[in-house]
Amino acid sequence: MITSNVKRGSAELAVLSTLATAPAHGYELARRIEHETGKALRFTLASLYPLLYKLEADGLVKGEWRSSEGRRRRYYLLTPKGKARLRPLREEWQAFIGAIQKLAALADA
Amino acid sequence: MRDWARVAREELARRGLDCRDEVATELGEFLDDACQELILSGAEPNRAAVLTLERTGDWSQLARRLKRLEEVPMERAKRLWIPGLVNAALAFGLLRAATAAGLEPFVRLQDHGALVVYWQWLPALPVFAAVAAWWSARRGGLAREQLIAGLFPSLAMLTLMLLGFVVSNTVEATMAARGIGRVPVPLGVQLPTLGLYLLAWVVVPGVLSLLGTLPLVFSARHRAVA
Repeated sequence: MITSNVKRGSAELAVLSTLATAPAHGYELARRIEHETGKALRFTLASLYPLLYKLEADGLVKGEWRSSEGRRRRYYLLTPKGKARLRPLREEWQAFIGAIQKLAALADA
Repeated sequence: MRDWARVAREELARRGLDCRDEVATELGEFLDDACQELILSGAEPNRAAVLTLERTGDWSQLARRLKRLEEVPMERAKRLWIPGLVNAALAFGLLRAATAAGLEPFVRLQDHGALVVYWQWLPALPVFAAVAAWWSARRGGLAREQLIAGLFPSLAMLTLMLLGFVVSNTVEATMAARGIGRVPVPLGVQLPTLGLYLLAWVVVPGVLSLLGTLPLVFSARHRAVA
C-alpha cells in the first residue's frame, strides 16, 4: 500500500539512506545526496535543516557536535530507530517506483 | 571572513524567529561551507557570498518550519518544563525534608502573621538551579528557557502566593458582603506583609537561583557560538 506521504518521504529516505553509509554534517550530507543522485536531488539550507531537526525530534537521527580543523560542526548519525524506519521506507518507495513503471509501460504500449 | 552564523540569526530574526545559538551556528557552518566551495571553484569572495545567500532557499519558509518545530509541545517540555519541574521538586523536596528533620527556621513575628525562613535550605538553591539550566541547555534550550528553568521554584512560589492572595481576598470580600465571616484585613495592612513574604520566599531564593543559573547560561551561549 502506498501512502500519500510518499512525496514527503522521499526527502526522508534520501537523508536516512545517506546517513546509513556514514555520519555527516549538514553541508556534507547535502553534497553527498546531490552527488549520489547525479544532481537529481538537491537540498538547500532551507529544505535540509527543518527535515534534520524533525528527524532528530523523532529519534531517527542523532546530532552531535564534533571539532575538526578548528571548527565545530554538528554531525548527524542514524539511530537504531532510524535504521528500523529505513527498511519499510525503502520498500514503500520500491513499490511506488514499480507502480509508476507499470503505468509508464502502459502509456508506451 | 563573514560571520555566517550572525547572517543566519539576522535573517531568521527578520522573519520573527529568535533562533537558538546552536541553530545559528550550525546554519552558519552550512553557509560558510557553501561560500568556501564557491570561492574554491573560482568565484570572487563578494560574488560567492551573494550566490550563497541566493542559493539558501526561502528564509521565510525556513523560519516558519523551524518555528513550528520549536513549538512542538514535547520539545518545549524537554527544554523547559521538565528541567524546571525537577528543579522545583528538588527545592521543595529538600524544604520538606528540612522541616520534617526539625531544622530551626528564622522566625520573625509580624502584626498579621509570622515570617518563617528556612535559611539552611537556601544554599542548595543555586545548585538545583544550575542543574536545571544545564539540563535545559543540553536539550537546546534558549537562554530565556534556561533562566526560567533555573528560576522555576521562585516563579512557582510567586504564582502560588499571588494566586492565594487574590483568591483569599476575593472569598473574604464576598463573605463579608453577605454578612458572614470575619471583617477583611485592610489591604494597607496585608500588602506590607505580602511584600515581606515575597522577599523571603521569592526574591531571596530567586536571587540565589539566578546566581546558579547565570554562569550556565553564559557558558552554554559561549559554547554554542565558539
